[in-house]
Amino acid sequence: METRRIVIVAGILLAPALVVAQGVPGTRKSPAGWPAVAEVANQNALRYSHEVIARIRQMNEIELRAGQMAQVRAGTPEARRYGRLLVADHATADRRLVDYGARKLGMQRGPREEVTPVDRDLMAEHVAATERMATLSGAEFDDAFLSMMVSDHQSAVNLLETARETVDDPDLKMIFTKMLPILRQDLWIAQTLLGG
Amino acid sequence: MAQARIESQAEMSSVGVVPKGRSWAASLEAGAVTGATGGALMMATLMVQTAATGYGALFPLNLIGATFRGPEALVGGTSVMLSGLLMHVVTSVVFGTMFSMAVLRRPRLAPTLVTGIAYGLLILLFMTYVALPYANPTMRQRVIGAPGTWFFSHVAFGLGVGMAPLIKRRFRSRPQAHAQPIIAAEP
Repeated sequence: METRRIVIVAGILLAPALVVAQGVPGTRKSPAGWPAVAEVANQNALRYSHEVIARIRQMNEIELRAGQMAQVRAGTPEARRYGRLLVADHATADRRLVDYGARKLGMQRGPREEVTPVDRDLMAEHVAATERMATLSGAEFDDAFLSMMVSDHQSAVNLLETARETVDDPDLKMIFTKMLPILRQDLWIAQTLLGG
Repeated sequence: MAQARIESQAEMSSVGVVPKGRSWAASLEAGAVTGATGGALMMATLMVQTAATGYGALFPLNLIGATFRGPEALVGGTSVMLSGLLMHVVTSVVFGTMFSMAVLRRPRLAPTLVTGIAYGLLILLFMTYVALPYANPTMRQRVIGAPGTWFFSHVAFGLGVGMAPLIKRRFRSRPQAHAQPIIAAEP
């Protein structure tokens, strides 16, 4: 009984020391000559934020182009108004990301940064798709445009939901939190117009 | 001592005598005009912002029209915008009338303007956290993203309703056919 009591008390006294020895998460000691773990984690987080922002800006650029085309070539007034809505929504989202990038990550204001080869291929696919749409008009254009918007916005919602969970900075999380409902509304409208 | 005989409505106004029933009617009429004024100022603020950001000047009407149609209203046409306009006018008149009824009978303009702005901000809180989440979540999701404009539009509304004293005085001094004549005391 006495022994058990001593063990329990010793455990309570030693537990904080064990935690300190493990280190506060993100600040563990690294081997001599290596960069601090927290510093590496921070650099990785910054690089990840750069990539996420570049990817989302690419998405914004694709939707902006499609929306601008729809304002001219769409067959119905609703599709033309949807094109204008897309241009305004994605321009607003892009401005927020540019402001954040300039303020927090030292990114240049202006055209988006170069993205990975995978994203370049994706961009090439979308450019080809919009070039095909440019040959269409009226109802054919509307079908092609709205189908593209449904699939693009579904991908965009998935991308932003993942990004919101994985980025570290609360300001960036807040930007994604504000963007998500707008993207879902745009998706809903595209689905409604396509179905109607 | 003989008392003066009040002969006309104009004389009644000049000596500050208000016929029975005039006060409530004046408040209601003034409230409607006050609310409409505040609503117009608010809508002007919103329209300037949406026009400047590429959504088009009439987009606020689509946003309000989403109360009845959901997100699809954002690409709606004339009928959606008219329903949004009607909703805005009715809401503005109701809120404006509530404020006008609560304002003192002979208020001063400056304090009422300040009170009006505070009232406008109270409405902002009510709309953002009570009304819109249930009545129009589409609009709420968008105004949350533009808090500055949302704030200033309600300040504009408050300034409009804060002009209630001016408008009330105008209604009080206007002669009305239904007002009861006051029988002057005989000398």
